[in-house]
Amino acid sequence: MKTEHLIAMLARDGTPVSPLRRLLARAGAIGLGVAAVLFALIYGLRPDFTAAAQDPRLWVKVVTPLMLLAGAGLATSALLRPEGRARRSALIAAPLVLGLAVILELVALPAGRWGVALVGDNALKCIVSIPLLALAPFIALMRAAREGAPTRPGLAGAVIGLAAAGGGAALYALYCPDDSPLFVATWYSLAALAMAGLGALVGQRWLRW
Amino acid sequence: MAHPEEEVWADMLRDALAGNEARYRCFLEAITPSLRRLVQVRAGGMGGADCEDILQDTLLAIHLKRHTWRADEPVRPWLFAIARYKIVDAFRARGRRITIDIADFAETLPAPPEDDPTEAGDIARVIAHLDPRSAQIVRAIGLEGAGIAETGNRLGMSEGAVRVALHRGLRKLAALRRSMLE
Repeated sequence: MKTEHLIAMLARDGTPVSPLRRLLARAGAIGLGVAAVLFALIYGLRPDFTAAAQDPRLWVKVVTPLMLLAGAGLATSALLRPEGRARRSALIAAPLVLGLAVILELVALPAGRWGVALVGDNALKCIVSIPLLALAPFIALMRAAREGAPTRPGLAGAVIGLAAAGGGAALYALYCPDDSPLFVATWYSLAALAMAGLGALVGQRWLRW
Repeated sequence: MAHPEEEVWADMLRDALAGNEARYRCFLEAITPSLRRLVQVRAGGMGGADCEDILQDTLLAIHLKRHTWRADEPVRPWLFAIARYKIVDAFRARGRRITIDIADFAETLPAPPEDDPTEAGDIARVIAHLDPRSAQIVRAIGLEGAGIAETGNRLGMSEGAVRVALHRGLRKLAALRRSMLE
């Protein structure tokens, strides 16, 4: 095919396009909506939520995943553009705040109770539930991301995994009975890293273009 | 601005994304010489026909990914990032192919057909792997230069149906080209 013919053909395909940002925002909203319904059906707010809400540690547990969701969402939107670069600061905010909360917890808690706080009551449930709740946003974002043009598909996929994990973890935090930042930093992070790994694998295969 | 074409290209692409097909064609024609030069500088060792293939893959990608450009961002870095990605892909694919010294077979091989090097490209060959309807449409519009209306008349389809089928055909074309490289 002659290049000039190809150009003429491409120009004739005037199918309207919506900006990638809009596609991603829509996918994120749908994915989180499905996850929220799933959360309400399977988990629901913890019974002692009103009492627990007095403890700032509960809010650390809810807000740091939301920061991860926002930061990884922005990074996703950047990495899906061919010339886009992710700003490291977008991804660093959540671990930083969580790290600070861990230090405060270590100061407040006698060393003898660190182990109990870290292991918590529901570690297994936590590392299963966060990926489960992250699944819908993960799938929705991955599908939208296929319309993107990442020059590093594996990295873009990993960041999508982090964003989805942020959404799933923020929801699960409303149910999770373990409030210690030591618990959150261990098990929530493990779940998020698992989603990032899954995202890297899927992105490597799926997001090539 | 360092590059005088930047503003011109950005204007044309903005109009194109708003649905102006004539301006879109101008845009694609305007960027092609710069992209061809970039490909030849980076992948000149591959030969003229291969370079033109990479250029065509790049144009197809620019078309299918044009919604990843943000109207408030410069066009050139966006364009060249797409071209570089396609060049790297071509090198990766080439690295996996087994290269055989042609001299070993010189006496048994028939003389290669004398083709126009810009037409020998793989895109035309890939069309055969499209479904029959898409292949007909891509052939009529891409190889014979027919318009949308003319193609519709010829195939007994509405213009809207031709447009939809063309768009699907182009997406499949890009997917097939990619799977050939993998």
